[in-house]
Amino acid sequence: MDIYFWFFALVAVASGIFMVTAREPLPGALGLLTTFISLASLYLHLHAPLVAIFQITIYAGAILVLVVFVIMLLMTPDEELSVKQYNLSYKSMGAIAGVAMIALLLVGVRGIACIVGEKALPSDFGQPGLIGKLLYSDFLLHFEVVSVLLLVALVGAIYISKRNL
Amino acid sequence: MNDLIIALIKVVFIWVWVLLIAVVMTWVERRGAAMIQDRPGPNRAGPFGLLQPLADGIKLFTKEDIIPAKAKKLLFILGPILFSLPAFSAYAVVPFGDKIVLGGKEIILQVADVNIGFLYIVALGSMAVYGIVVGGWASNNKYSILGGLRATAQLISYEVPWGLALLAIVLVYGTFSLREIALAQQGTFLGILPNWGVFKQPLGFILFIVAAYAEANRVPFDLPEAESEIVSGYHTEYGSMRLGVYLFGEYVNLCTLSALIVTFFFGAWHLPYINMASFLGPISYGIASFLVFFLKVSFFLWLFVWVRWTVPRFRYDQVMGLGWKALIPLGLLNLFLTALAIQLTA
Amino acid sequence: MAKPVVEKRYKLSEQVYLWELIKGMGLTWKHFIFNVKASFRPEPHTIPTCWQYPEDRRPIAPNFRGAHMLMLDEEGREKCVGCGMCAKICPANCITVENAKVPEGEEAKYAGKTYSKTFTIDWLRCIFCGFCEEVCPKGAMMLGPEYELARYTPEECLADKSMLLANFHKAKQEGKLRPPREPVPVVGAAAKPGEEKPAASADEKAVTSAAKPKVAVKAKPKAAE
Repeated sequence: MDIYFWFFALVAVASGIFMVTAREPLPGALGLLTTFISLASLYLHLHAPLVAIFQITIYAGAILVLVVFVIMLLMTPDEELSVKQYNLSYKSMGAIAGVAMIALLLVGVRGIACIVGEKALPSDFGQPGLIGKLLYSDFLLHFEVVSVLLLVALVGAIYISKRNL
Repeated sequence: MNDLIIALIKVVFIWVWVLLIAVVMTWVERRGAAMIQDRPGPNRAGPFGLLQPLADGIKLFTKEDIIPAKAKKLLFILGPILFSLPAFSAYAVVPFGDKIVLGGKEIILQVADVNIGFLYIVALGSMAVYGIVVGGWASNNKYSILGGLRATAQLISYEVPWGLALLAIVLVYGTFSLREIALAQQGTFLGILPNWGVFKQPLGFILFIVAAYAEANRVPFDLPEAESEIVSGYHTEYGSMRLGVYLFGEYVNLCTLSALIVTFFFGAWHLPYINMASFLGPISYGIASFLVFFLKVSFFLWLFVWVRWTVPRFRYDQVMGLGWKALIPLGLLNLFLTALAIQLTA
Repeated sequence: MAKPVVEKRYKLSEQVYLWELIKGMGLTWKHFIFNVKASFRPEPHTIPTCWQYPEDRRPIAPNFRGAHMLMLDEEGREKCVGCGMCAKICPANCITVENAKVPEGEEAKYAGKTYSKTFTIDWLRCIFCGFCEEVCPKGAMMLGPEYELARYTPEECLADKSMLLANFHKAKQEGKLRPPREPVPVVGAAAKPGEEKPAASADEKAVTSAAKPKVAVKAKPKAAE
């Protein structure tokens, strides 16, 4: 029985459920924040401090702040989320997308397990330097492809938001 | 077990020390403002008014604790807590001196010398905004919401140049550990200058300090609380000790940021041209390094006050323009130049 | 005609802002150092723009209208005859005077044949206009230099005769007693000057003493400092 793991796993799941069912937007966002932080704790537990810190810096520190920004722009504290969620087809589409995503992830996890198999961790696993070295040697192509993908997304976003450039 | 007790003592010591600094800072801010504006300031309580923070604290503690009827109660209570937690926990990785030998045991004057201390600072820097946002949202007041909104936008904008300036430092020193960065700044640079980060990263220093002012919500970037526009922003509805926690957290933040500036750019505990370790005993060296470090920190704390009463507040679009159009390109340029210089000299 | 808006063109050094910032900080530093030095000096009034109030007071104007005083003449007799003119003219209705004949055996205490048995001023109502001083035929009422009139209860703000006399004694002791004001000439009303003349000439001494010290008024605050 690993208390540390189960504690944060339970917190992550509970706050995730809270986030999905929350009636008000900001408590929902805070639930998501709790999920992120407990996930980061789990990464720390898995001896991956860099991933944990990235989880907090990027997800909790940047993306969720943006989400909160949009919440504050669009809603007032007295409004409830259900006012904006009347469209049933959006809801059902979201549910289908979610289930599909879970299935995809499961397939992916299984695939990685098949490829890599069981391996002992190297002694300097999870150190920032090692990850950097791997990114620029073995996984350079993947890294560059992701960069290009992000750039394309950026250009696309600007194009959509500013039609008459 | 012994190590645990030492770590506990270090944590308690640095918290008490930082709290003390925050308390004194409230006095320094008010007296400094007064002196700059040609008035005496609070000078009645104790000699030079030094007991004024005590009087303020007693006042805040004994005031009625009001939660507005329309506020979201739970979030309203949560706001100040969320604000002060990152402020206090950031000090876990910031060094406050070199090392001290007590009873034959070498103690590093830093709570935790972790490998990724640097990233920990970056991660915590962005967490403080949740306290502001939650406070502003829970108050259910248009000014408070505007304050929270501004805080989020400003934080996202200035997190980027901040991170870029930090990245350049990582390039220079090749490590994520704050203690190693501090240790690497001993000696001289180019023969004459002290081997401080500011001489290796002058542009990075300017970027970092500007972004630090924005992160701490200090003038000239104090848009989340801008008294003259949105009353007092996110803590308009707060009173008594909840307001006290907000104000206190701000000063603790200032203290952390000043310590970071000193660690990264001003040689941490090293005096220029003098190697203190060579002529001081193990205990006196530890104390001296601590004192030197906080002498430098106090200068930057004073700089925060000095700038606050010199520079007027920026307009909102100016703040955003400065962040995105000036600081980020400069940060990228700085990163590129640093990498180039390292490549050429290595 | 509306003025055309001219947008200022900034030089590059101004656009960079950093140099301008440093110049501004130099200015505030000068003020800071000046005031820090000043605050170490022992005397209370060191920072020029601020008056450290209880220790450090501004000199009051020579004809300042503060707390009321009931005057005594040179022989130490009360000038007030209890005529009630002050109560009548008071726009705030704050003066109450009770008139009585001077009792047997106490003629040495009062200048006139009648005196004010009680004389109460409600400082909560008083607007310190000074009409009572102007109207007094005997020059017995005067608004003194005292201005710290805050009290804890409303009862304490009812100034009775003993308080008004005490004010006089205090002002006399501290040498803050100013000479009585010159009577204001009434313009326009034909009947009034005739009415007022005898009253004024009756107290010739007061008038002459009022005319003289006009110069002395100005000299006094300097001497007090």
